[in-house]
Amino acid sequence: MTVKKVPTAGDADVHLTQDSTVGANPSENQYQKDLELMNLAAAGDPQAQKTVALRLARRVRRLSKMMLLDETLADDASQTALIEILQSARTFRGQSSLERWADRITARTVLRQKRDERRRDRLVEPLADTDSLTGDIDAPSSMTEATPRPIEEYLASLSEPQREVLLLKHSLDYTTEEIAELTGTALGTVKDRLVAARRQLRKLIQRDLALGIQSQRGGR
Amino acid sequence: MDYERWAELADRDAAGETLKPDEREFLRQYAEEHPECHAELDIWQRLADFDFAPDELRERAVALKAVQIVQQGASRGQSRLLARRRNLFVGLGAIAVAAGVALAITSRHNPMAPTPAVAFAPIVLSTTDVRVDGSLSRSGKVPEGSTVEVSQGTACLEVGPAIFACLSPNSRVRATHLVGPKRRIDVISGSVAVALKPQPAGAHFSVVASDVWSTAVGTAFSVTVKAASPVETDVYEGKVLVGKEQTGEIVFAHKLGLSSTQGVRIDPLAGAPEGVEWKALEKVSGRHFGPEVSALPEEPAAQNGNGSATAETRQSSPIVKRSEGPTPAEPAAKSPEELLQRARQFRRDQQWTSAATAYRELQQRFPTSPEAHTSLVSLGEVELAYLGDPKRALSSFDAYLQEGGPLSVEAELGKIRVYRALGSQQEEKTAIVSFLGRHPDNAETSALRERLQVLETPRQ
Repeated sequence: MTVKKVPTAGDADVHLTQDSTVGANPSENQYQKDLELMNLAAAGDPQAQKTVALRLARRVRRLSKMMLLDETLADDASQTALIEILQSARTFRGQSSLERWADRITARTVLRQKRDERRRDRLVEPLADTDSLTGDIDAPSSMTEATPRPIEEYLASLSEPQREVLLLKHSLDYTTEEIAELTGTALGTVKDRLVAARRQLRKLIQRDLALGIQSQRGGR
Repeated sequence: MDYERWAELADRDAAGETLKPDEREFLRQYAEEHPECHAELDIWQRLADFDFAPDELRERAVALKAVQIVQQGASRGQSRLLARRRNLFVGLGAIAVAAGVALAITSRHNPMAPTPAVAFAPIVLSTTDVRVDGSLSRSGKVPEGSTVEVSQGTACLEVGPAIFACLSPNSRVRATHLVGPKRRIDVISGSVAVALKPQPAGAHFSVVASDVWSTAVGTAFSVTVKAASPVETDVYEGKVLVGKEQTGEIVFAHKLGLSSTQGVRIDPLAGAPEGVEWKALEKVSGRHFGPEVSALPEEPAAQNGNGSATAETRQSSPIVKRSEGPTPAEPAAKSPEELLQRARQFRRDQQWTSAATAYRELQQRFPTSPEAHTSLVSLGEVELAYLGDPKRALSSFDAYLQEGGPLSVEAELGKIRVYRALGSQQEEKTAIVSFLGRHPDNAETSALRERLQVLETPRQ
């Protein structure tokens, strides 16, 4: 198999790249570059694999963290998702952005892990990994002038199913139909949860604004 | 009223309903003209941009770990493991709680489970707010590669089994390597006191400051960085190998000796070591470093930028006090389940001694219960990984294996780790060979074979 070098591969060690394609409409040229990158990764090129993993790690882990609300579980889930992404590299066809393609794998992985965790929690003594029991969230980390509190706090106030739907909708831009299929939930239920989650967040934001709670981003 | 209409339309739009053109125009125009919508819109935008929960260090660590696993082909073993776990669940679906307990251990505390993406050093004691990578720590854990700092008071990390490091006030260290035989922390500023029990053969712990390495296998010492001064290594007991990283200068120091080379100063401690970090070290390590043991002072609340104590901050980052002094007598548990719950709670609180006590009480009072049998493996893990007591761990694993059960594999792997911790290479080798013979498809086999190769390589 002929492998071509992709210019972006050499950047892997430098930084976690920002998702330049998020919210944009990447050109076919970009898709083609992604396809070449994934072909290299599928062929086992270590640099290409590293580039892919570092490029996707940001959204994979952040999504996992917000869905699971647990650092250790999020590490496990995002690691598993990234492994699956790398192992599935040859199935990437370059018909959408790499991020969009990887999102589905991430969502399925996290949802599967959540199901497994729930099943275990019902049956067993949660032993060694106490992290998963605390639901700790790290120090406030994401605030803006517009958002009175860190997003994490707002999301933590939602029920798990509501948070799940909200993230799939607003972070991954899935339609309600896609969410229903992914989560195995009735479409009506998905819509109800989404609207309930948005209302809950809205209520909290309005309350905070009324109380004069200010963003603290500059203070940290 | 208009705001309510806006909110309702926004929700309908999000839920996938098709809005009429005038409704869509209202949505857009109202949001433009009414800043009360901006905070909500900001959240949706930031969720779309993944502008939340940033933790670049962990993101990078997870990515690199995944690449490593794929490149090593270890993921195949992981996949097999996951498949087997699923089968286990199907097979054991109707079996009672005891089997469930076993599965929990298999699933959550299984040495075969995917390697944690990020290693942590738990903060086992702190008398003040602790900052990890600049943010107040809530989780009580320091991820590998992170920096941890205290301004007032002290904080102690459990860097590895029976390796404790306590920061003196106004100190900052990096948890550089937290796994493997060569654990390491770097002192960026201030001072850190360290106590460690003798490490297994081949394992050691280093404190690095300004490219000066202080490496030990079992001792108590402190390393201090001062501006425009040599790095100071004060050795309380045992031996510490001190050297410059680049020049390879190596000198031995011990309790009663004094050596000095350019840029390196090693002082024996004449009397009891002083400082809140040493007192904290006594508490967490259970060792005694001098004649006087005074109570560990409670430090005042952290000050914010304006100099006033911040109640909210204190609430959000509670003082972590996990040293295990005398525990108040608890009412006797009525059932094995209750004792198991108690042990679990101690584990969640990282009170390892108390957890071990609860497990032992469970085994003594309800020796025939399934919980008591299963808890032998849990107890062994605690004794081995957290209490630095491999001999007792060996007894626990052996006791479990006498009857056997669904955790036999874990108990056998535990025994291998025990032998390694004890430096009993022949026993470790025998145990590995025996394990590989019985469980050739276990996910640990490749790691065990590598270890076996090391054990079989003659020493130079």
